[in-house]
Amino acid sequence: MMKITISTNNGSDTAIKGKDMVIRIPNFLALNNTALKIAKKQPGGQHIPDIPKEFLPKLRKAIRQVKKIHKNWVLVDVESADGEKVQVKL
Amino acid sequence: MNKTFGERIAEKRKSKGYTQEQLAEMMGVSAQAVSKWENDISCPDVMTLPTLAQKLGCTVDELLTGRESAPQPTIVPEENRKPFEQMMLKIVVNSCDGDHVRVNLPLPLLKVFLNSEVDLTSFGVGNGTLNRLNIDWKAIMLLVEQGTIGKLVEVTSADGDVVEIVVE
Repeated sequence: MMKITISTNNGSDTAIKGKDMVIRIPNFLALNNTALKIAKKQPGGQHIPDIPKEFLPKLRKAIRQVKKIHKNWVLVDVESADGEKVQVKL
Repeated sequence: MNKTFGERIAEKRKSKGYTQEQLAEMMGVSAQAVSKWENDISCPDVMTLPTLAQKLGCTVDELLTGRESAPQPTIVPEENRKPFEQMMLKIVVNSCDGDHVRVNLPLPLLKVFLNSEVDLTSFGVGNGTLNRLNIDWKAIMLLVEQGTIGKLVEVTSADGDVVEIVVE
């Protein structure tokens, strides 16, 4: 499961200010070739490298193995200068 | 909540197993002086900070700011190494405008990327800072496989962004 947690406790003027927003997407939906094609067309999608078709199943398998060892693994942890936080877990 | 300077001194002293009297003796001050430092009533003389940090097994920066600095790179003998599956590569980007990005990449995953020839440098981490560094990930993996751990890369860009790559 890809879990994206967005905490907007400080500095944000958005409607979710002061709350945590959690987006959960199963890995097989987030990490597949169709999702990749869509993501590449979105703003910032140019940063996503060209990924061979057979790579994503290998990646999903590796993630499953890694999660057995690192139970509370956080892939990306971002904290902005004004205190907003984003965490991505796989 | 962030610890105070005094609390950090107390914590480091206790983790080293010293009493206030022992630390005072090492620093050439009275036990009451150490007690005052730890209760944030007074501060040690600035000239004694490097010695204090050395006695407490940390850096002056760590004492003053509470930010733990990554261990310097060391080569670990084969028999003492962590299993490869448990090792983690951490990319820490502290941007000049105060944003912090931390990517925790287990080494087996990095290996999957390297074996697939996916261009890791094109991932956009830290406002593009990482892309511009053009890091040789294969060289880093080679270093790790040979037993090198700790802070392998530390770069400060012209606009003040700091990137660290640490293997634990």
